[in-house]
Amino acid sequence: MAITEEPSAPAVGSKGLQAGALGLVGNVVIGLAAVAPAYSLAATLGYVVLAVGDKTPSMFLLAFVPMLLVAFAYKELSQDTPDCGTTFTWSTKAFGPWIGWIGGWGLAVSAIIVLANVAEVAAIYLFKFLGLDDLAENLTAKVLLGSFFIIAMTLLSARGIVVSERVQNVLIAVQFGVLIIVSIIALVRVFSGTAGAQAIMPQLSWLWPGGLDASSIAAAIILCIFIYWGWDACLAVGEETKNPGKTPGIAAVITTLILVCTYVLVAYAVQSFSGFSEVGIGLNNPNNTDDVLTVLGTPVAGSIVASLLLLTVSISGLSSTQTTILPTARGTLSMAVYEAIPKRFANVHPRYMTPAFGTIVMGISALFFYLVLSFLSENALADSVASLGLAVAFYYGITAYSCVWYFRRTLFSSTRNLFFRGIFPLLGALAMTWAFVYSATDMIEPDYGYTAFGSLGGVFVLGIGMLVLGIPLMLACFAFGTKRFFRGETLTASTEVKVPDTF
Amino acid sequence: MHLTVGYLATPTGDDGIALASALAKTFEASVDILLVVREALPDGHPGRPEYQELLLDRGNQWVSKAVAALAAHGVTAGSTVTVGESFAQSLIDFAEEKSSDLIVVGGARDGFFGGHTIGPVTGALLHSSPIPVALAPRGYAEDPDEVIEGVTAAVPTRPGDDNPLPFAITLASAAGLPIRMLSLVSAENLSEARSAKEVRQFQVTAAEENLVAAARALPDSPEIESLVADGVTLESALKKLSWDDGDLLVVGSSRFAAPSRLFLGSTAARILAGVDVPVIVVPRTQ
Repeated sequence: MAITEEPSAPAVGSKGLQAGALGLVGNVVIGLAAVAPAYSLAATLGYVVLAVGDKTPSMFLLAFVPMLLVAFAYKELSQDTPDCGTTFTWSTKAFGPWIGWIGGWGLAVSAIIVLANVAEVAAIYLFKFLGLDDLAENLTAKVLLGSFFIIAMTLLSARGIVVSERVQNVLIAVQFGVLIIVSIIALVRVFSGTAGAQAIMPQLSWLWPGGLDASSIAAAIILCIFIYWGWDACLAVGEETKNPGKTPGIAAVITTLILVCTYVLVAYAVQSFSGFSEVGIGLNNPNNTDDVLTVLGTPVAGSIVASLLLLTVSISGLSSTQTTILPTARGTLSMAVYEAIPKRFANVHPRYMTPAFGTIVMGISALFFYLVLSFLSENALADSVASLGLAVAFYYGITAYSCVWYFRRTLFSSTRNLFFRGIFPLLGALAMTWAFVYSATDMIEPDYGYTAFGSLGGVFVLGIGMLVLGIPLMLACFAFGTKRFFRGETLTASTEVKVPDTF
Repeated sequence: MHLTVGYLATPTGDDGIALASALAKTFEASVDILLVVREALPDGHPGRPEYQELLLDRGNQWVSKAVAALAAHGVTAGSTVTVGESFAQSLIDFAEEKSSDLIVVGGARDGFFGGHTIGPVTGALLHSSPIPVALAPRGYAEDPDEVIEGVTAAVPTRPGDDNPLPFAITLASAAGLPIRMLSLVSAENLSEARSAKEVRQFQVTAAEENLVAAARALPDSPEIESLVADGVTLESALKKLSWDDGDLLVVGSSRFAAPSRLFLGSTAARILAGVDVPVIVVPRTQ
């Protein structure tokens, strides 16, 4: 044996982290992909119309405001304390381990629910795309395909197979292309009078939320939180862009304009083309609520465009699971590193280099949630969107409050801090709290949504139930875990979180 | 001599380390271990760069275990953790940068059949590498060779396939190892001749010719043993061979390979599946 060199320390290769990898277009595409517009619209539009009638466009405008305010909180926190635990880490630093744990749980719950929701949407729309409308209505067929999607997407994510950037660009282009073309054709036909007797003229008053009661607004906002969910990320990933000073801001503005304009355009097109009658393609026809977009496809632009629309929604939903699962798996990994949950969640698969264990546990939970929801609820889709809105409002709220409290000492050091770390996040947090509490109170009523458990509404039981389930789980982690996290030994306000070291 | 070891913290990775240890001791080679960490692509959520750093951190922990395993056998190795989209490509780039003579990897363990199962990474290496690739059979780490004791070169039976003999001779002479040549004869080639006997005779002649060539290439020729294994199928021919501890098989690239590149042919792939000794696949000569 002739090798006598000194053992050298492992060197980090020159490639290293790709800072500044994203340009403006990449940043916009990522922001839009995280929102998955076609799928979000397909899943919510009908229910928003159900809640607020012709005022849907105004809700799309209104709901954006609290999202924007919370996004400022995300931006400030992720610049101050970049960490893969996001909400978990930040709220632990602001409010201590117990609230931090529940914040992390809220994030996980929303990932679990959205997987179930995506599965349902993708299954229905795939069946319809294939012309198998009978199967789309058939509970067993739907649940089987939906479960398959959950399992497949979980395994793909655990295996580390992600949608490549190029594919993502194409998907986004197709989604917006199809949505905008269908909407414009619909509006042109409405104005030229060839849309049929059910059509009504678009009105400016649709943009103003006048004459609505607070309950409808709260319900609509909870639903709309879902269609903008993921948008906040665009501000928070600033450090990856080529020109971190300018690009993220411009990207956020562009993304916002694209999203809000498209949503309002689609809402206008759908409302004016379909009208509000209770028969045919009318929006108040209960058969149409869960898929307003499809109903519109064939009458507006013929069967080929309609099929494309169906396929777009299905694929948009499936590709969006990755932008949900991956960050959440990173979140659980971070929680496990700080010993807030069992250590197994901190494992990284040595071959696939993913937090495979956490991902698979999440997939199994989503599968379980989906099966329970499907067999208890007549309309799993509606109930899951509403309960998802609750979970998202919950952890967004916690994040925004954390921002205000964490920065409490430096709030008055500059006007900029006062607004971006204080007033804006606080307003966002209050709006989220209002929407959360108001909707939750309404959801208790058994006639809310499509299911009821005795005297309680099904959405309330599922949405709040999933969040409350976190408390016994947290206590179990406290009782059987190392307790170091809960004693504040692993993560406190003063902990320097750069790379969580493996303990 | 320099070895680049492609490592993953899996049993497959350990097989590669075990082979690297045996090769390093035999050929007095210096060793560099490379672990490629998956590139976490931007997904529009905060926390991704921190996750990437955490992966690198894990990678360093894993690779230091591999370094320790080699040190236990008295082999000192350098180690590098890098971020890359493709393990195979990063490995080839690294090996070229270090002017490596050999890339060492473990086969994949999750296959069902055969000694050498080709995983996606190995597969990519075996179809593009400009540097010879040494494959550890699966389970090699559990019963590794201390050193390599002999080199066997699988001599092609079909004109056009690349002859690995020159490489095998260089390799064997570097450590003064005995070398033998192997010709596999199966009835599958029957269409080219009238009888199996004739084919076999043809192959034996070819093998003998090769022996002469080998002897010429190496004036102070070591003892070159010529070996002909025959069977109805290639697999049954392979079964008749017996391998000793410390044997190493060298096979060439297919005639489809680009010059100076490696491309595993169908016969070589079947040889790989049928043997349980380490195999080196050699890129095609110009």
